[in-house]
Amino acid sequence: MNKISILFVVLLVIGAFGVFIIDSTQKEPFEKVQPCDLIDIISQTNKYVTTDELARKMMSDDPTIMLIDLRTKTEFEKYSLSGAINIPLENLADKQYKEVLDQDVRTIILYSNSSDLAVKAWMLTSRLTYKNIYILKGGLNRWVETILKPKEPKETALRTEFEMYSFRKAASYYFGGGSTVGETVIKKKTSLPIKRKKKSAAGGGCD
Amino acid sequence: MKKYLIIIIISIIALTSCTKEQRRFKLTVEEASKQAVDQAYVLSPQLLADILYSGSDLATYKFIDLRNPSKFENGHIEGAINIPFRTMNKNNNCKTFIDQGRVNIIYGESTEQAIFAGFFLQQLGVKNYFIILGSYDFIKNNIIDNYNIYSAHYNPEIVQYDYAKIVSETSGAQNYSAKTKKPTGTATFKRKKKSAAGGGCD
Repeated sequence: MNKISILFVVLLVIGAFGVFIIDSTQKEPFEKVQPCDLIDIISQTNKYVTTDELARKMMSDDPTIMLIDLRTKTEFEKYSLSGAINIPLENLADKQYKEVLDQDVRTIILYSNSSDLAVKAWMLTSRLTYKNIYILKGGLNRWVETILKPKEPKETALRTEFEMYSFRKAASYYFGGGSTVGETVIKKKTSLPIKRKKKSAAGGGCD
Repeated sequence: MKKYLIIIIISIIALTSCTKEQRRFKLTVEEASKQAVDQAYVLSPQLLADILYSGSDLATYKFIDLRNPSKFENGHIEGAINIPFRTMNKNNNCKTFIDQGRVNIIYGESTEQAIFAGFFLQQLGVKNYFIILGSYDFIKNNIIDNYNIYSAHYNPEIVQYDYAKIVSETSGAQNYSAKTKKPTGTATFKRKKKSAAGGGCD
């Protein structure tokens, strides 16, 4: 009797190991984020940055932000936000970009033409448990609509909307789209690009 | 003797069911990122309108609404069922998505939400679904209530503006288009020019 029970226990242990082995033959056995967790992560974390927030940060020369352009190389070369790094979505999981993305010092902001690619990229990075990653809500299309070509609010609009508008106007001028009709009298609060002071050339000889 | 047999059978059942219960990603992150640009799972507005207006295929299609129950109650696509996004991973809901008998058409309160759900299913290896781009409000206003020529081509990812042109056509303070190659955001250290030593006589 005793022998039999020992045998059973041994069998059980072997069985348990067997299950464990089957388990670990999966493609990524030690993947930290399981499907169930991923849904929770997505629905619980704050993952968006609005175009206004980004504009504010860029205008104050915030050194902690890092922009990542997920579009193709050709699109990136045509136009990109200043300082952005191009990582096409297909190459996001490549090893060469791991160091760029896997860090917790800077705030990474993902963008594409809208938020579509950024949403997918965000999902992949959260599967890889990368931190500090945000999506530019609305992407470049909204960047144009709100920052480069802001619409003037109606006269009946709230004061906050006007304040928002005047900020956007200033931003639009800063980022170079500031031609939209009727120059309004908005004082720019933000720092203008610093003009290099030309030092007067050292007077060479005797004049 | 019988006792042990029963224990073993129970434990084997428990162990195997444990492993089956956990759903795993079918695609690795690498594979998923390669397939992410694929638009095959996006239902075009045109097809959506066909489905909505003809009504004949409704038996094979099932609309799934990812918004909160309160919003769902205020209005939804006819025949849709409500599975709030955060409850997608609950067991019963998982079965709804995986059910092979029909095609699920998923929409949410924003394009982003629908894409999150769609890409999630794609990574699980689920194939029988479509997502609708655009929020429910967009679908309601532009497809159900008032179908127009613009609704047929709705895709937020399409470039809507010539960015470089918008920036360069105007004389803004700075011009960031790539062509002009202005220094980008990363701070470059400006070397201070030392004034050349003034020669001689002043």
